Amino acid sequence: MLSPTDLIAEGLRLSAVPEPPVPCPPHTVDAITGVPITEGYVAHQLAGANTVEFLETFRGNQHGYVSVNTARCWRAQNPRGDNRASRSVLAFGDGTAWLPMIARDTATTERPCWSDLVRQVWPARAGQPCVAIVTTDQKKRLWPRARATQLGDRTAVYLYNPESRDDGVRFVDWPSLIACLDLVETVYGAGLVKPWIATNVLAALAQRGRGGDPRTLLAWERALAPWRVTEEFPLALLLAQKPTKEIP
Amino acid sequence: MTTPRSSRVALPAFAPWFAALIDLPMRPLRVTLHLQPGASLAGNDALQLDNLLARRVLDVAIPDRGPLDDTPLGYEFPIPLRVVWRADDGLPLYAATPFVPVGTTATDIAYLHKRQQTGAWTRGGRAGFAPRPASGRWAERRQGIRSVLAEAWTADCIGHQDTIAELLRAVVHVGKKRGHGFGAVARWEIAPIPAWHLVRAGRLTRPVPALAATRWSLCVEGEPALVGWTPPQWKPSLFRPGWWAGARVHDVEALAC
Repeated sequence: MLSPTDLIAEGLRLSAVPEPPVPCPPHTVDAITGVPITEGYVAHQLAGANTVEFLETFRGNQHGYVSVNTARCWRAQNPRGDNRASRSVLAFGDGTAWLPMIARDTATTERPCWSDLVRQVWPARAGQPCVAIVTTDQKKRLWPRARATQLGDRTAVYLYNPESRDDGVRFVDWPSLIACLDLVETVYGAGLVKPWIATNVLAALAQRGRGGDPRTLLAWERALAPWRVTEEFPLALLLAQKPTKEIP
Repeated sequence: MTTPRSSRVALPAFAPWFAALIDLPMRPLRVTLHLQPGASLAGNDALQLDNLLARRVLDVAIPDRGPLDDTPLGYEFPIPLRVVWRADDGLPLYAATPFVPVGTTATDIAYLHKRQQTGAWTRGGRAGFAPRPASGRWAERRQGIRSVLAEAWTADCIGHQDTIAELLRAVVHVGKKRGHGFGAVARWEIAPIPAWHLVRAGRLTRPVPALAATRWSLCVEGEPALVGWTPPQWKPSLFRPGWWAGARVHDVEALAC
């Protein structure tokens, strides 16, 4: 059974921990993921002097063991070294993984834009096991809380965005996420700002030169209103990008 | 035949409690939690009714206890809830759902600040403990914790109304960071309902292990993942392959007890 740390460690090809794993007592499970293991690393030995909140990270079992892949993730959260486990990630069970960017302007081939990637993987990867973490800030506490699910109508996405007060797992319907993203990007691309999209696009009427046609705004508002209470909306609002401008 | 990964720990102090449970009439109930005005529920995981009752039973049955032995095994608690299924190692699945918010809700991230310890009695000396504010385990840091504000929280179950009410009466705080005012309880309401549903509107109402789903011929969408399903749900050694609450179920209108 795949765990989030298996998906992240294998997908991102995280470095192996130099020390060899040790045999575990019978019936040992990973102190973070719960996966049964026969060999691994002692949690409190893996944690360094700078580790804080270890009781919560290891679910009260800091004297337990963690799997080889969990240890790889642990070592890949160093802000002064390899910190790939602390970033946004989308990893699949076949070993494919990305470290996506939110802004399309800064995205590269290796690190695609979330907005494009969300559409790229559906429906090609429907049903595949995956782990998704979307964060606006690099945080080492996120990957231990992420969940592995299938890409589909109830995909677990860990969303961390302090600006919108989001910090936790959201279960999203991937096709609905794409539909919501389409709508939000249509409105966003027309020049309306995200705070209006989040609350009420009719606020644009008060802004000289940015309002546009009132009937269009009303239609957008009617279309957006039901989305605002969904699990997909905060994610779509964060990931939405304006269309790429053609360079003449 | 598969070998159980673990078995249960039975505490002698619980024996009379288990005996008392046998004759208790149980029926479907809705437990409603009203928090103090302005108080929100903090934590990353859902509040579980069976977990809450297990903790209360432990506090009442063994007052002045120290911490329980740290073990990967599961403890058997005499909870006044109906057991609807048992795993091969005897761990129980209770007829109880997690608490879900009702009415208007708002999520937030609360930031708490962990300040540097003074080290007043140990600072100094070459070998002394000298905590630094900017680095190391005792550095000052900001802790973000998810919180949810709601009009009320409800959980459905099958249990004994009076016993549950008596156990919950003393619960004045729930969730994380109680010392900071989160989860301050105003009152509990427990009322009978017509039926308890494991599946409602095509979705699981509580985490369910895959073996239980097979036993009930539930066709749950997607591959199972490791889920917490029996108290304490946060304990990884008790995780089993299964589905979280909210997973879609096919071909079942409603499974009512």
